[in-house]
Amino acid sequence: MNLHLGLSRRAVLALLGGGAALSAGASRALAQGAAQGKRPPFRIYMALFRGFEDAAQGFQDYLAERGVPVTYIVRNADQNVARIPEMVAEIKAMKPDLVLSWGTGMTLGLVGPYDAPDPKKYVTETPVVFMIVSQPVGAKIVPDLLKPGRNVTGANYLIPEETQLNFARRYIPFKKVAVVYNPAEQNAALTVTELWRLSGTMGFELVDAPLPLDPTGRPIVAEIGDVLDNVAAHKPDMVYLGPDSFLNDLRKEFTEAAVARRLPVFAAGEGPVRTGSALMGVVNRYHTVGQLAALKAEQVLMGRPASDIPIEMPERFSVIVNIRVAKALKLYPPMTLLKFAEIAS
Amino acid sequence: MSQAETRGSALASNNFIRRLFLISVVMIVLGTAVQSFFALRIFESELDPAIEGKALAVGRVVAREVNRAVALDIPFGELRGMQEFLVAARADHPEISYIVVGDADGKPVYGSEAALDMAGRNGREFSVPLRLGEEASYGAVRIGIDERYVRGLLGDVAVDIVTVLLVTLLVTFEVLIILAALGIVLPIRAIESLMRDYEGGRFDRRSGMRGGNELARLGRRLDELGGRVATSYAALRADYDALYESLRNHPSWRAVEEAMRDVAGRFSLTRAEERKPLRIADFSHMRAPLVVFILSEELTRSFLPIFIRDFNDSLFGLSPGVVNSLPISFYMLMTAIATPFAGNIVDRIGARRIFLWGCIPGAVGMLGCAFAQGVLDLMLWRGLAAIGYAMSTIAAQAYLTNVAGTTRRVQAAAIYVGAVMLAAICGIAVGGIVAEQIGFRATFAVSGAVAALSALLAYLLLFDPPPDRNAPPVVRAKWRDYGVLLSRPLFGVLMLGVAVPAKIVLTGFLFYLVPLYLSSVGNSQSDIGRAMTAYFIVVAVGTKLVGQVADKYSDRRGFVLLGGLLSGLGPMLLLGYQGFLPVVLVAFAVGIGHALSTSPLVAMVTEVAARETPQVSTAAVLGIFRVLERVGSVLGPVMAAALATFYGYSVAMAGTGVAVLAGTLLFAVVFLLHRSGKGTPA
Repeated sequence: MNLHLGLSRRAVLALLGGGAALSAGASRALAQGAAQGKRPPFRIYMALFRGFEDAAQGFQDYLAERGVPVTYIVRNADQNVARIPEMVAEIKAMKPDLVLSWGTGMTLGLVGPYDAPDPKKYVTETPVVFMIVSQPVGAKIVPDLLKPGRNVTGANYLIPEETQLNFARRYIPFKKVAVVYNPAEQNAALTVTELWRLSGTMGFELVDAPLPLDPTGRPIVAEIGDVLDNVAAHKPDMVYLGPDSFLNDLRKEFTEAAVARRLPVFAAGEGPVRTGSALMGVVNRYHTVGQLAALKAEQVLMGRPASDIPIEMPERFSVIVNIRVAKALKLYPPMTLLKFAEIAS
Repeated sequence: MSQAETRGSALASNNFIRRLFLISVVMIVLGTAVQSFFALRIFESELDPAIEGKALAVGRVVAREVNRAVALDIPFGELRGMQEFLVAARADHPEISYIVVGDADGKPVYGSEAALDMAGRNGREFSVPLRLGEEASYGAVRIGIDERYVRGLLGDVAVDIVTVLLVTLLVTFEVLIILAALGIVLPIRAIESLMRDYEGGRFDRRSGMRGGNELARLGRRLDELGGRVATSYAALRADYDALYESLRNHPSWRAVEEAMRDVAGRFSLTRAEERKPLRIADFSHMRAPLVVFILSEELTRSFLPIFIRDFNDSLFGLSPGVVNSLPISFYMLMTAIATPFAGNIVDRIGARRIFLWGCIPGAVGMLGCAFAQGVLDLMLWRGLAAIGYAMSTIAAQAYLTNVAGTTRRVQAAAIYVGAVMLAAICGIAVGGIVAEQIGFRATFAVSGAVAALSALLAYLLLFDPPPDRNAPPVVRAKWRDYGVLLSRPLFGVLMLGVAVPAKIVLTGFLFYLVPLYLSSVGNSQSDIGRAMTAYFIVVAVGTKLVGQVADKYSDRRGFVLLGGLLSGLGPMLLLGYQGFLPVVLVAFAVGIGHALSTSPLVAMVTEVAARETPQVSTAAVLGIFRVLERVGSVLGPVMAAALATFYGYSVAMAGTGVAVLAGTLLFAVVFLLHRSGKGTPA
């Protein structure tokens, strides 16, 4: 079941209400124009990173539902950052009406950091709409969420850690939280900084457990068990798993190892709960994030400069509980949470 | 007909009317009581299934969640957060006293401490079994009903019914008075007057009655009779004229001429077609249109500030709280400004027409409010209604004064005040109930329709009586007179110390803060209407009693002082006591205070003016008094709103009391210390 998120609710409502109402007429006009052959359909270049998943589907679903005439050029980097420069070249040659970019790495590769723009290396003339970027400001994609200031906008997806923890607390009234992460990832580091700040304001003890790195700067997979043993010795009430690419790839192994040590895992993403053994997650569903990115794209196609379109988060988000893990840990969700939680097993 | 006989017939008709009233009242009370009884029974019989339905619905919601948890293999005995969950499920359902979840043996397992304590003890209980699919039940959700709350609901409905009953009675009285006047008293007086005409040999008027009742038939017979006399006389005149040339030198002609002159002298005779219909101007004609017109204004009184607050509009950079008071103050301001102008045109154009014209902005203004989009256009519509109110009320006063002639001025004033009070009592009480049923905007539309109805009544009933040549010309205040009066300190103290604060507490406390405060502590619109009605009932009854007592004392300072203390200290008590009952009691206290001080204050004002500014007529003094006291009406809501914004409702209500108390102190110092007895100032 979905929840309202107070922070962005008003803004998104305004967008979905006012903005969408305004744009409805325009889209219809565009659709009619296209039907009468006055205008060829928009060309959207989809720069994907992990194939055509739920967010990409949500993006296309929204535009189809709105009747915006589009043709898609779909490209997949298949998690290989090295392929991005080719895509930049292709975009410059094809000159599509809009580029949709998936993920932090892809987006940074396409548009570069805002404080070092280079029109030769990056896409600057074509507007870029991104999705599934956890820290648009921290990653230097835009200086300000409300006013991107460059030809880039998008949909935020990571729910603020404070909101996540407030929901976690309704399940597990924690006093001690452990965070295990890959210190080499910028995302993870930003999350841990925020957790340290929250430990003060929300009143909990933080067990900071970075994974050890090998000489090449990659985390050592074999050490995960030891790290978790150390963590378990601190007797934390739960383990926090952030938007960490390395651990997300190992989500099944990592969460099962935690459950084996009777440590409940709280995840910032959907994957560890649905396809791993995390107990709980407070997440935006990718499909919904894709729809919101499509709303931004529609506004850009209507002629509104991307630099003026604020980067927002979906109005609704999901609380997911893995009931199989709950039973294994004998840690049942309280009724007030169960009422609106989505159940995974 | 002698004087005694006239009085006799009037007494007979009075007696008849008294009996008519008695019978009507008994019938109405009986009828309404029986109807109310059955209405209450029906409500009761529909209430029980409704409560059962709601309890079961809440129970099913709880059962669904518990079943969902158990279906997920969470053991029934290990459900977490049940207490919090059940408390949340009960929230917003005041008729439910507890929710517990019991096991298969009926033992309560989950629930708040209080709920577990209450379970199965008292009152009705409904239960929804817990089961998965077709399996055997493993427990039950049990919902208890709060019988005290349900009885309270019945009580509320009963109070509504009694309110309607009382208002029905009052309105019926009003209708009876008017019907009796129009159907019986006035026709009898017309026939009496016509017969007296005939008796005195005056045949130049006719009753002009229509319709088939006895009085009308009698009237028509008299008309025929008079007509025949007129026709005979005309025939006689024709004969006389025809014979004049040939017979005027006849020796007896002189006698004929003498006889003709004698007839013309003894009788007033016109030709039949020139006989004018006899119309008796009476207060009753004005009563119905006036009551209905003021009713249209009072219907919205109890919710106007709440209606404005719900716009939550900001204007001119002012805080919403202060903005909320603007339409009310603006209304008072427009009434104050429009009244003198309306007074002047009434004298030139006639009361009937101005009353009718006043109904137009009155009705349009109300209708406009029903469709208002923000505070600014609401203000404009209210301003329009205020102009209508000023026109129609001043026209009504002028009409009543004209009809009263020189001899019945006091009676005319009493009828005006009575109509205003009746309309306020009925309008506010009924308005609250209506608004609760159909909403604020629809009630404004009803108000507009009521104002239009008033115009229709006025159109049918009113006619401008011929001016009474003996009556002194109406004196209206000139601008110069304001200066003359205001330069007198004693007049200033009466205005600033007593009259203006009285209006501040009326509009600021009663009209503005009471509805907002009561609504903020959760009272229904009907209750708010009744709380405000309390004030008007006390004023209506109290003014009469005080009037009888106060006339016996030539020194009225005590009344004004006591009135000021009551209406000032009353609101200040609300700093310590809060809720519905204290507010009603304070509204009572303010009402008693105003009943005590209002008429004595008017008497003091005229006395002071008569002594200090004899060049300004009493009527002008009263006119100026009425305009100046409205300064308080304008200030009241704005002052109250500003205080409420910064310090909350309790302090704001007390603040209006402080204004009255400060004024009373000023009055006491000037009139008690600097003046011994009722002599001239020392």
